[in-house]
Amino acid sequence: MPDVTKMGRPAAAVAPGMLHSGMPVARPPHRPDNRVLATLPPTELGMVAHHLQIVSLPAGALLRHQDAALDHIYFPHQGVISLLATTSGGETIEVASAGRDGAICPILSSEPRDGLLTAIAHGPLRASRIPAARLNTLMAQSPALGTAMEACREMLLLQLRQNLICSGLHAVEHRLARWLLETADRLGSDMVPATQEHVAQRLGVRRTTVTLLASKLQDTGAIRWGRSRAQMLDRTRLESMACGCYGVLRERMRNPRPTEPTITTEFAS
Amino acid sequence: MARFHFHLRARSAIHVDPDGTDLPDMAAVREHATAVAQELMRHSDTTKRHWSICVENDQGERVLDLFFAEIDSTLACYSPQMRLLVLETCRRLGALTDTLSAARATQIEARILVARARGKPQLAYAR
Repeated sequence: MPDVTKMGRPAAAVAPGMLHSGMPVARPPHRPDNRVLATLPPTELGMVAHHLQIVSLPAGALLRHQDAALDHIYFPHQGVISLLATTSGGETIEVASAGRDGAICPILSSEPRDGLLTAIAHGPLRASRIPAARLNTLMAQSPALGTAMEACREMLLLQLRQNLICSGLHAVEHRLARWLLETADRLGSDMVPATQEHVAQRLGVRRTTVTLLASKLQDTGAIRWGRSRAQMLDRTRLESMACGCYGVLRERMRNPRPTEPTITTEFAS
Repeated sequence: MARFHFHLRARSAIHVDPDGTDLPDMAAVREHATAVAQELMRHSDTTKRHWSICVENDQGERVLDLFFAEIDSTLACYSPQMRLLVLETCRRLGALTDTLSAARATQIEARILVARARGKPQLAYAR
């Protein structure tokens, strides 16, 4: 009797031992494409730039497995890095991601030996990276770098919170619309390189579910989904189909420090 | 292993699964269809209750119809007669969707045929 419980589940997205070290291509340019680096004052950027290395990685490259420590901090210039939580059976769900607006760094300032999350390149990636230990030394010397890294960690934590709400409370079609919009925003493009299999691994559902919902989305005229990429045709329509999580995170990215936090004091008993 | 395609009937449209999934037997087919239906219904209101999944093998033969109402736990509070009534309504709605979809396909084929007969580009008539 075959074990039918895992039949048809998405194939394992990542496996230990296929870690991609990346090919270093050049030293970073003077004005980096990554916004975290670009916001640093010139003297501090110069100090960091000396240790940065630009890497180009193919789509799906494994930057770090969740059982290993994060040895480099990545600042994407082009493309998106996905942070995934994976089960021993190879099932995955996306916890957070970062494009040119952010960085992939340990969520805690002092990360334990295992990295907690798997990091993979979503689509072709071009990024600056710096050894984690080196960045810790530099942060002690540069207050601006410390503040910038704190903002990156905060953004990853916010995504973690919002994704917890989203996967626990929201219908999968709204989550799909949100994922497409957020990934397009991080790429700065209306074209999202993604197969339906990949998206299923991000949302933690079966590939069939994504295919059927993609067909529904296409019928509304919001997107067109080819073999390996989804194109946004009507962003407003897609936004109307996404859950509120999209708006919450976008607002926080535009305005990282809200002056008047909204606090709900009453909870349902 | 054989390949199965899981098409979705939602409202009056059929959404096709062109690639399909390789599965060993009918128990696995039912399990996959049930899991997909549950993923689609999770955290949704009751508007998907009348949806169904129609499974075909690679030869295009229908091997399973799974009605969401069969596995919708929010229907558990109703009497067995009421649940049967809901299921029967869903079956008829599914049959109506199939008919409408077949009629639409025939209409498109007819338009293409007419376009070809007139020597016009057929793609312009595909919708």
